[in-house]
Amino acid sequence: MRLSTDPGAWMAALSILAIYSFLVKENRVYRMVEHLYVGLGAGHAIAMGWHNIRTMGINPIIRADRYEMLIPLALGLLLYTRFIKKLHHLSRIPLAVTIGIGSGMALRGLPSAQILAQVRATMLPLTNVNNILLATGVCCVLAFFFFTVKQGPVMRGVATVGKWTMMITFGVTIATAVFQHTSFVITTFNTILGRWLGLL
Amino acid sequence: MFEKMHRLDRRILYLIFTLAVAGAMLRPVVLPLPIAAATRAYYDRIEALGENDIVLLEVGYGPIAAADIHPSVVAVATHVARQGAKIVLMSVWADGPMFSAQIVDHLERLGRVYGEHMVDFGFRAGGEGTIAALGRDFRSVMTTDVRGTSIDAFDWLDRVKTARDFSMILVSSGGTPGPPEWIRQVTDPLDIPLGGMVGAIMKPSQIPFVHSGQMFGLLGGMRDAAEYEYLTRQPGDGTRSLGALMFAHIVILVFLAMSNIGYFATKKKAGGASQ
Repeated sequence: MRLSTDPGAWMAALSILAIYSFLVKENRVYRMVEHLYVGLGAGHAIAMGWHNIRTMGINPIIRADRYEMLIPLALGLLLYTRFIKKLHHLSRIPLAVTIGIGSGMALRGLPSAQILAQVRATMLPLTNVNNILLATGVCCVLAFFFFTVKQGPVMRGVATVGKWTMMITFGVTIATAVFQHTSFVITTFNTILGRWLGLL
Repeated sequence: MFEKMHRLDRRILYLIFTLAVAGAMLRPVVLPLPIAAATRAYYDRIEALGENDIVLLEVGYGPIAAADIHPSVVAVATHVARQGAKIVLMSVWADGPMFSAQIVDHLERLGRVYGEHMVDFGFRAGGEGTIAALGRDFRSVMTTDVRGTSIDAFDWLDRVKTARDFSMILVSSGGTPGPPEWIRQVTDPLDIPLGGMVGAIMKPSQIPFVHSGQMFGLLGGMRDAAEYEYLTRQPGDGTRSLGALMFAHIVILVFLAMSNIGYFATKKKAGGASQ
C-alpha cells in the first residue's frame, strides 16, 4: 500500500467516505461535506458565469469593438429587474427572447431530423426478427395512444401489446440507470483504493 | 426466513456490495467481451481517419456524468490521435472545459503537441443556438482558444470555415444539449458524419439515431468504453472496471430476487393466515 501524499487525493477520499457514511446513519460529518459540496457548486457556477460574461460579452466589446454584444448584455441585465417591483415586467423581455429563439431553433430542424427520419427508419423490410419486433412495437405503442375512437377488442389487444412494449422499454431505462450509477460508485472506489490508498 | 429476506437491513446489502466491488477491483478478472455493432461501426469510422482529417470533439458533461462518459471520450480521442488526425475540442456545457483540459493533458502525454495537433476552444454559452451558429460559421463563434490565442494563429485551421470542413463531429453528452441538438442543427442539414458518446442511461434514447443512420456509432457508458478499449488494444478505465461492474450487478440481482421471493412468500403466508 502506497498512501498518497497528494492533499487533493486525501480531500477527495475523505469527502467520499463522509458522504457514504450516510448509508449507515445520517451524521454531522455527512451534513458538513454536503454543505461544502453545495457551496463549492455555487461558487463554481458564479465563477463560470462571470468568466463567460467577461470572455463572451465584455472582452469582444473592449478588444474587438463588437458593440452588438451590448444587446445580449442588456437583455441579461434586464433579467434582474424582477427584483424591482416597478420594473418587474421588463424581466419578461429576455425570457420571451430566449423562449422564442429556443422554440424557433427546435422547430427548424426537429420535424425532419427527429420525426421524418425516425419514421423512415421504422419502415423496414420485415425480413428478420429485429425488424418485425421494431415495426410491431411502434404500431402497438401508437395504438395505445389512439384515443379518438372507442376501442374494440382487437384494438384493445393491440394497445395491450403496446403497453407491454413500453413497460419493457421503461425496464431497460431503469436497468441502464442502475448500470450508470454503479459506474459512479466504481469511480469513487477508484479514488479511494487507487488514488488515495495506492492499492490498484 | 422469508420475512428476513424481505426486510433485510439495507446496511448488509451495502456492505456486501462494497466487498464485491472492492474485491473485483483488487483482484481483477478477465471477462469475455462481445463487441456491439454500434461500437464496431464507431471504431471502423475512426480507423479510416488520416493525417489530413480534422475532427471536432465536443466535451459535454460535468463531474456527475464524467464517471460514465469520460472513459469513452479518452479512448476515442486516443484513437483519433493515433490515426494522426487533428482534434478541435470545445464544449457547450459549462463544466466541459475541466474534462477537455484532461483530454489535452492525456494527448500531450502521448506526444501530441497543443496548437499543432489539437486545440481547445473551451466553453461557449448558448446551447442549441451556439451549435447552429458554429455549424454555419465556425470562426465567428470560436474566435479564441482557452489560452487566449486567436483562431487565426492556427494555420491548419485556415480551411475550417463551417462545420462541414470537419471530417466528422464527435459529441459526448450527459444530457441536453446532446446528440439530438447536433443532429437537427448541424449534422443532418449539413450532412456531416456524427458519432455519439453518452452515459448508459441515455443509450436507449439515442440508439434510434444509429438505426436511422443519423449517427455512425454510439458509445454508452463504461461497458462500451471497455469494448472500444479492447478494439484499440489500449486498456483504460473501462476495461479495469468491467469485473467490478459484473460483480456489482450480480449482487444487485441476487438481492432483488431475494427480496421479491421474501415479499411474495410473506404475502402468501399472511393471506393464508387471514383465511
